[in-house]
This record gives sequence, C-alpha cells and structure tokens, in this order.
Amino acid sequence: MPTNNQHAAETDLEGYSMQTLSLEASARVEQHLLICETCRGRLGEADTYVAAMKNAAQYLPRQERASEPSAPRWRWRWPHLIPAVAVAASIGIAVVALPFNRHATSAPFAVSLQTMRGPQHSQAPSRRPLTLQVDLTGLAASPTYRIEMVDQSGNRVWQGVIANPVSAASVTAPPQKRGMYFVRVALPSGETLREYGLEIRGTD
Amino acid sequence: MASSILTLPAYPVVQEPVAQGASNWPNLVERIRRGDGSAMEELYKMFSTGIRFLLYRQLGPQDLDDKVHDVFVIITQAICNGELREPERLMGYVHTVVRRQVASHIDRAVQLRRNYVDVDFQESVSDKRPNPERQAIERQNIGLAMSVLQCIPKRDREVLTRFYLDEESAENICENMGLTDTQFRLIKSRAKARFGELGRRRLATRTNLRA
Repeated sequence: MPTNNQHAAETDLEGYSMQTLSLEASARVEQHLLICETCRGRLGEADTYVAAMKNAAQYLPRQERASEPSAPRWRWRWPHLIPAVAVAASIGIAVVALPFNRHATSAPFAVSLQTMRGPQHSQAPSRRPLTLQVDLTGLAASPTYRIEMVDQSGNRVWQGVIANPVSAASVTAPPQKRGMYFVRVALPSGETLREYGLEIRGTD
Repeated sequence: MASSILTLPAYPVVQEPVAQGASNWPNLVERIRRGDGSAMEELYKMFSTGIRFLLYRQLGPQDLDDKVHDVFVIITQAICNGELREPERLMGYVHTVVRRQVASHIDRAVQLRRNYVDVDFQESVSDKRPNPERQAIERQNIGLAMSVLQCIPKRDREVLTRFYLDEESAENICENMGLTDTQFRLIKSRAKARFGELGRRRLATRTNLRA
C-alpha cells in the first residue's frame, strides 16, 4: 500500500483501475494519487492496459474459451470427498444454528455520529439495523429533521425523520451492505444542515 | 495520433520523489492558519492537479474548475477556522472533502433529473463517446492486446481472460488452476511487458515510415 512517500504498487493501481480494491485500499491509493504525478501517469497506463485486455479477451473465439477446462477433472475418490463432506457438514450446522444466531445479529447497532472534523468517520457492521445517534447541537431549530443516508455515489438508500428533537436524537435505519455511506441531516424543506461519514464493514 | 498511449514503460522502476514537502503537513497547516499567502499557494500547487484528477475521473469534465475551487474553499476555511484538529492528516482530510464533493455532486444530479423535466426539445445532448482519435487509439490498443493473447500459451491466456474479463480474484484463479502466486504474477507481467514491447515496436515502425 502506498504512503505519502512511497509509490503505489502496480497491483494496487491495477486493482483501483478495475475497481476491485477494498474500500480502505482504494482510499489509500486515492490519497496517494492526490500528490503523486508519477502514479497518476501509471494509473492512466493501467487503465489503458486493463481496457485493452478486457476488450481483446471478449473477442477470443468462444469455442476456445469453452473448450478450455478451467479446473482439473473431478474424480470421485475418497480423498476428494473430504472437502465436500466438510462443506455439507458446515451447511448442516449453519442451518441448525441460524435460527438461534439470527436474533443476536439483528439487534440494532448503535452508531454515534459526531460533527466531522477531519478524515475520521464512524463505523458499523453490515447486516445489522443501525441506531443512528445524531448530534443536533447548533442546528437551525426545526420541529422535525429529515435524516437521509446516501451511498458513495450519492444514491439515497434510506430516509427517516426525527420528530420533537432534543440536542441528541436517535433513529433506526435498516441494515446496509458493506461500503461508504453519508448520513445527512436536513430540514423538512430539503436543505442539508450536516453530513456524517459512515463506513459499513462486513463480508457481504 | 497520440502515440504515447501505445508505449508502456517497464515498471516497477519508480525512483522519482512523490512530492516535495509532502510530509510536513503540520507546518503548512500552521502557516495557512497564520494567513501566509505563500502557504496557500503551496497547498494549491501540491493538491490542485491531484484533486482535479480525482474529480475528473469520477465526475467528468463539466465545471471542473468550479469543483476544484469549491474543494479548496472548504479546505482552507476548515484550516483557518481551526477545524482540522490533526494537521498531520491533512492529506486524508483533503481526500475526504473530495469524496464528499463527488457524492454531493452525484446526489444533486440525481435530484435534478428526478425533479425537473426538460421541456426544451431543442437542447442538444453531448455525445459521451470518445472522439475519433481516441477511438482509433483504443482500437490499436485492443489489436495489441489481441496479438499478446494470441501468441501466448493457452493456459496463460486463460489466466488473463479469467482475471481481466471475468474479474476473478487472483487467489481464486491460482487455486483453481494450481498456480503459485509467483507464477500468476509472472504470467501477468510477461503479458504486460509484451504489450508494451509491441506498442513500442509499432511506434518505431511508424516513426521510420514518417522519416
């Protein structure tokens, strides 16, 4: 991973170009790109190469790709059955355990959203409802506030309302997938008053 | 024809410094706080190209200057108001502001599309396709990549196809095809080097023809 004074690795630039990097890795690469002319040039080259390979691979004769065995042929021998048995056992355990576990994971996760002063942002797990604790101190007085959650591309994923607000209020949002989100506090008229960064972490 | 697109230098040979003064953020922040004009200039010089690059990449060329300006206004105001509590993380802060600006612009565009119906049928819509020169370059690059794919062993071709076209992870490909990490990286780097070499050769031929 690049730092202020280290150039980005080629695999990172390629991953960034293909949008396959994790959110954290992608942020590190972007921070480095902010100040590094060399890596910006290298990223341009990675873009060119990735696009060319992707397009060229599409033109490969279909029959050639289809005839290529992607993995060694499966043989029904006992040692090969061990992973299959292990997988089947895991699925069985998961099916039995899931009803008990579901209650535990669905409990809302409390996220305290503070006024943003710097690059830090709150974090929460995926697949759990979120109790968003919003700091309303210093905001224009209003009988209600609109709370809106948007994803990294600015698409709204959820909207709620805080009624009869006090200085700190909370509202529950549904579970979200892994990614970077922004929680906005707005007046009922739509005017945005405050915004908080929220990173949802998880395996989905 | 923008021939530079066709040549890839042999990486990794990255020795140049990243950016002058890139590690002395607290000093820069302090000078901006004190109202030092040269510090503002330094901040602009340091980040303007990078901010422009990231904004262009994600939002395109429209109103790019205004967007860069907005980002700088936010950053300098935050610094002057003492809102940047950890000056050593200035770069992270700049990045966060850029990301928020991107999200906010996209959000605004979505809202506009949702709320306003364009009644002016005369208005033209800009063509998002690359210009003819760019299209020609892309065609040439695809041709080069085809040459690379056709002259390598079938197994290597499958590795590259699965990685670039099917976007399978390196781990998955290695596991399924019985490759080590080193073998995988070698296949990729050889193909990339071949791509660069073919590009340089084509460029040299063209230069000779012109001469």
